[in-house]
Amino acid sequence: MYGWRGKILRVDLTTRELKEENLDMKAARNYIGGRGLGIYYLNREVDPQCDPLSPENMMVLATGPLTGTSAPTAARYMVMTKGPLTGALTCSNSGGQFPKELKRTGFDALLITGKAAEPIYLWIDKGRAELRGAGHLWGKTVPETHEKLLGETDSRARVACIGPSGEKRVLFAAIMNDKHRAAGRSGVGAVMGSKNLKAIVVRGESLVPIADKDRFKEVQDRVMTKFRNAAKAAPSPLSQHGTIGVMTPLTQKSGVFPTKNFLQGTFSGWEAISGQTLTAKYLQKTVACWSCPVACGRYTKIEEPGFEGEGEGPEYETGFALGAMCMVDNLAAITKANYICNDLGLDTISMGVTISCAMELFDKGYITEKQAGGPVKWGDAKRMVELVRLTGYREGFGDQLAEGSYRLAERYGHPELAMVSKKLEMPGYDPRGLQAQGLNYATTPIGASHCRAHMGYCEMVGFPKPVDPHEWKGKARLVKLWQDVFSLIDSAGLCIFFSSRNLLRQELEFHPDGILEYLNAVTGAEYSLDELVKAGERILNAERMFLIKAGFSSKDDTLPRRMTHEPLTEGPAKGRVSHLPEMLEEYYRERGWTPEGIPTESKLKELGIK
Amino acid sequence: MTGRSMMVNVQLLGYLAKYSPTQKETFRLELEPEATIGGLLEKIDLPPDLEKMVLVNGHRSNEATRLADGDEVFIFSPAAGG
Repeated sequence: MYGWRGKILRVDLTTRELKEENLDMKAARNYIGGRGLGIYYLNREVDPQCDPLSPENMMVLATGPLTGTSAPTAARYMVMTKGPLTGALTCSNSGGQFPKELKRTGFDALLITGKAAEPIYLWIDKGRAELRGAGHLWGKTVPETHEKLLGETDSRARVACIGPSGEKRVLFAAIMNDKHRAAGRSGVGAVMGSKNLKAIVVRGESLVPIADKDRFKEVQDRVMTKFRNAAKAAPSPLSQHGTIGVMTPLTQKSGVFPTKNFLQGTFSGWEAISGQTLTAKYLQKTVACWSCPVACGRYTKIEEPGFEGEGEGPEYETGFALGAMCMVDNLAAITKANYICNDLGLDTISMGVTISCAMELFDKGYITEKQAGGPVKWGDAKRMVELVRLTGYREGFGDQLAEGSYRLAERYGHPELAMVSKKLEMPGYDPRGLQAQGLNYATTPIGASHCRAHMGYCEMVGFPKPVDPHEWKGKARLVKLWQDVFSLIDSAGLCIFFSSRNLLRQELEFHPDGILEYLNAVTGAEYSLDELVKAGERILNAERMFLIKAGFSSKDDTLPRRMTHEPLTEGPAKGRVSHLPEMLEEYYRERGWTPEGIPTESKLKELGIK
Repeated sequence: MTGRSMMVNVQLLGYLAKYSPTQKETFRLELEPEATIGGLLEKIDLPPDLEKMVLVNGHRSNEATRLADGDEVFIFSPAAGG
C-alpha cells in the first residue's frame, strides 16, 4: 500500500468501542482522500437530516494520500461533518504538524460517532488507540489542554482539541491543532464538544510509503526548482508579510475590502491593520506548516497595555473580520482578539462578522444598550476584544453572539443584516466587486467560503490569467471548474496557496497536472488526468447530494440582499451589485443540475454516485 | 517644466519594494505630464520581464495607461498567491 495507509479507525464514543477497518480502496480511488473520503463516508452512514449536535452525527477526520509526504504543502487534513451553524455540510481544513502525525499513526481517517458519558480524549500511539478520561481538561483553554496532554502522553505527540467554546457549543467553534492552527469554519468544534470529546492526540512513527521514489524525486526536483527560481525573481509577499500583507492592500485597492458589515468596500484605516504594519511592529518570526516552502504563518507578540500576549496570527481574514468589519483600526486589539479566538477555539471570520452585525443592529437602534449589556459601537476596539471573550465562554451578550450572525439578526427582526450564505459568514472579498467569488460563496457545499474555490485569484490577483472582476457572463463555467479542482487539492492533502500556483496548469481552465504527477508517483494508482478531473466533479456532486437530502436546494444558494440590491457607494467597485441570479442559471446548466439546483439522474450515473 | 509635472502615489507590494526609490513600499513619484504606466515602470527600473499586475485607482491597467496627477498606482506580482 502506497500513499494511503489502508486503514481507518472507527470510534463509537457511546459504547467506547474502537474498531480498525480496512479502507475501502475503491472509494479511495474514486474519492482520493481527505475531503473526498469524508463525503463518501458521510453519505453512506449519516442521516443528512440529523441534528448536527446529536450523537447520530459523525465526524470524519481525514488526511489525503499526499499528506505527510515531502510534497510541497502536503500538510493538510479535513474535518467533515454536518455543521451546527449551517445545517449543511462542513469541510473544515487545517495544516500545521498534526495532520502529518495522524497519517503516521497508520490511519487514513478517523470516523467518530456517538457521545461519551463523560469528557474523554482519544490517544493514538503509533497504531494503538485508546480512550482516556478528560474530566481534568474540561474548561481548559487550548494552550492549557495542549501542554497537559503532551505531559501525560508523549512530548513529541501532536494535539487537536477544542477549547471552552467547543464545550459550550458556540456554533462557530473551531478544532485547534498545534495550538494555533484551526479547522475553523461552520462549528466543527461544537460537534466535537457535543460528543464530549475534548481532544485527539496522535503520535506516529511510520513514514508514508512512496510507490515510485525515483519518479517522486524527479517531480519534486522539477517543481521545487521552478518554485525557487520564481521566488528568486519575485519572492512571494506571502512569505514576507503573510496573507494579511498580500490581501489587505489588494482588496482595499480593488474596492472589495468588506468594511462596516459590507456597507463599504474600502476602509480608511487599512494601512494600520495591514501585514506591512504587522511585520514592522509585532512580527517575531514566520511559521511554516509541514513541508511548506512558503511559510505564510506569523508568530507575533503584543506589548500594548490591555492587549498583551503572543501567539500566531492574524491572517488576512482575521484582520478583515475583527478589523475593517468592526471599523477597528487598532492592530494590537485585532491581534489580541485573534489570540483569544485561538485560546478558546473560535473561528475568527464568523466571530468578527457576527460582532460587525451586532454593531450595525446597535447603530440602527434594533438592539438596545440594555439588551447588549452595554454599547456596541463601530470602532470600539476594547469592546470588540471583550465581546470575543464573552462569546467564547457564552457569557452575557456573548451567549447571543455565539449563535452567529444569522440567528442574532433574526432574533432582532432583521435577518437581512446577516452577511451570510447558508448562514455561514462571508469571508473578506465583496461579491459586488468580484462576480465569480459571489457565485462561489452561494454555491459551495458549506456556505460562504473562500477556500472551496478562490475566484479572487483570477478576478483580483490576476493568476493564472486576469479576468474582468465586474463581468458576470461566462463566470459560471469557471466557478464550476475551479470548485472541482479545489476539491482535488483538499482531497489530496495539499494547501490551496501553493497548489493553485504551482501544481495546476496555469490556464483559466485549471487542470490538475501537478497533482496528478504527485499522486501517481506516491500512490502508484496511475490515474489519468480525465479520471482525476472527474473525481473532482464527483466529490462536488456527492456533497451536493448530502445537502439536497438535508433539505437544501436553489432556494438556499443565496447571498445577502445587500449584495444584490444595495450597490457599493464608494471605491473602484462603486455602483456595482452581484449578478447572482443570472450567474446561478448558467451555473446549474454547467453542472448538469435542474433549475432547482438538484443533480440529475444522468449526472449522478455519469459520476458513479448512488 | 517642473511646474507642469505631476505627482502620483505608488505602492510596490512586498519584495518589489526593492525597486522603490525610497526602499519603502509606498512612495510619491514625480512624473512628466501625461506620463504612462510604461514610463513609470521605466523610471523605477522594474525589470520588463517581471510578471506583474498594475492597478490605477483600483482598476486594472497596462503600460499604455495614461496617468493623471494624484493617481494611486499599485503594483504587485501575481506570485502573491503562493
